[in-house]
Amino acid sequence: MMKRNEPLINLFGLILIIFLAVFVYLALTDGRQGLTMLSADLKQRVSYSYLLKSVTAAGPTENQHGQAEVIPGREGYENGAVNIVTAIVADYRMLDTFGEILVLFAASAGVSLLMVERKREKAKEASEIVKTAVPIIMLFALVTGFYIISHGHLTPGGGFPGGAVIASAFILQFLAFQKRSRNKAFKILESLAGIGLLVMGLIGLYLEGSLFANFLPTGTLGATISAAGIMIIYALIGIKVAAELSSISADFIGE
Amino acid sequence: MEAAIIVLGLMMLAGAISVLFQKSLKNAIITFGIVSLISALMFTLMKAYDVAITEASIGALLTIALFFWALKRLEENGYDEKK
Repeated sequence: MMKRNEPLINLFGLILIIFLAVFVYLALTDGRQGLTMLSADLKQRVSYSYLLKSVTAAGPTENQHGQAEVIPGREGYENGAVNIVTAIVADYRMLDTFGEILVLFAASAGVSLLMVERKREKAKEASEIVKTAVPIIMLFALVTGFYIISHGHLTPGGGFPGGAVIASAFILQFLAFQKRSRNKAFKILESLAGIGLLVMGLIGLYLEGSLFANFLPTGTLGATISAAGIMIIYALIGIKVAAELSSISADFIGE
Repeated sequence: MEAAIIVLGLMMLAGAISVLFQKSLKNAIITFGIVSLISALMFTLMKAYDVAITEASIGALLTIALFFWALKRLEENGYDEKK
């Protein structure tokens, strides 16, 4: 049965790839002749408005030479993040990020479903050096993770990498002491953070008219506590990712 | 800079191919981690620091740990590499 359908599926895949290639080529050429990605007018691109943080704001943020003018220390920008990647990932394109989080959630749920609880054999105990060093390294990893999450709007990083660093601290603990943390606590934390994210999105929908729109004051560009919406969203993403990755590893280790 | 990126890219390619020809699964997993580390370095050279942090923590640590635990589970359930 499967054998007979295979050429059809291959043909369908080929057509899909050709369609995608034509689509990419047309997007690159901008309707003109040849590949003109670099010579195309950057001001017509959506990312230009993102860089200027003026997608919906009425006031111009360019100077008289037509250059982008995003200056740290000023107030009143549409989006308070200095880190442009964060501005796009956690604000303008938050719906995509929410989809990514759902993918991670599905992976975590699948692992919990497939990894049936079982008795683990008594593993060989870790050496004294590992046992002494791991708490110190764990402390550094936790502090680094919290730093990466809480400074996501200023420096590279954010919820995903920070959560992964925190989860790596928990993995070190599993490796050194051969006992895992309470898995149920991870699951509860994860679901609470997920509900919090959805609530943030719905409040944005209610107040601003689009899902995950920023409704909190953006503050001074470049200040440690600014862009309140992004800080809250990244804190929730960090908690969720850390709890998910820790619970995946706890499921793998077993009881 | 471009030369460094080309050299690192070739190293990644060589590492990724050599994963296929490793004798044991453990060696293959460690080689895979090395490929991840080189790609994190390449992201740093290309100034994609956000991606580099994620790649270094997830690709080089979490994935490798998960692969090792999966291998351990396989061995507990009777999988033998030498067969």
